[in-house]
Amino acid sequence: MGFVVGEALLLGVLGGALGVFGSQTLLYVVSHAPGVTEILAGIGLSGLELKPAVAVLGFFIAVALGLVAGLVPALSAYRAKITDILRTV
Amino acid sequence: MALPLSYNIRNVRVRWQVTLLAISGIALVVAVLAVLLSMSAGFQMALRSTGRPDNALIVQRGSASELTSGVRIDDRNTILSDERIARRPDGSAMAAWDWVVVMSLPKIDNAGSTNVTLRAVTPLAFEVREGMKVVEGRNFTPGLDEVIVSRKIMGRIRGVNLGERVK
Repeated sequence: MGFVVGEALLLGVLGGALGVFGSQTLLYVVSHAPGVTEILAGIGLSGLELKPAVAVLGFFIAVALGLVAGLVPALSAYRAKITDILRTV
Repeated sequence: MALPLSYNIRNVRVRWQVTLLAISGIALVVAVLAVLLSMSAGFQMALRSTGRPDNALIVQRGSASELTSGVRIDDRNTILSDERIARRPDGSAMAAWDWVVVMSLPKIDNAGSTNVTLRAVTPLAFEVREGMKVVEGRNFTPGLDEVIVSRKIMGRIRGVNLGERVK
């Protein structure tokens, strides 16, 4: 069970890190693109940036997603008989 | 017996297509969430820094902003007589009506032009809004083609410094 949960956790951490990095890049590109800055300022978004609290929240949500997604296969792996699994290999 | 962590890492590496798909999915969810939350925080900051609980903006039915709103003079007078509007000491309504247009002006770095909001107001607008202060020059004279330019616009737009002519 720990094996599957550990793997899900690893995926969550990697996905979270990539997601935070991707959103940071996207926000930087959008807020520095020619013409877009003025459009954003026009609708009241003059300082579009990724706040550390949002980045941390996003990262923890990713980890939680990974854990939740890995919980079901982990439980079924925990309950399954080793002989049944070996038969299907 | 607990399996070593290297088993996890090797498993993730061997099944790299599935791993990539899972990571991409989670990353996409996190990226969208982070961008939306950042936009939400930006809007909240903009509204918090400009809004006031005792200052209401009335626009035409169906309009989401001043730019798309037009209120007829009859309706304006009806609004001004509404008892919910604060009164000045002389009994007149503490309300001002603005005429808002967007004009295209050249940027200070010659990188094309940008939209600038021009707001035509009555002298009462200063009393209704409060917090405005002329830091250089003087207030405009009603009836003449004079404007007050904010500090931020002065830093972004060419030809709007004190004494210059806005084209």
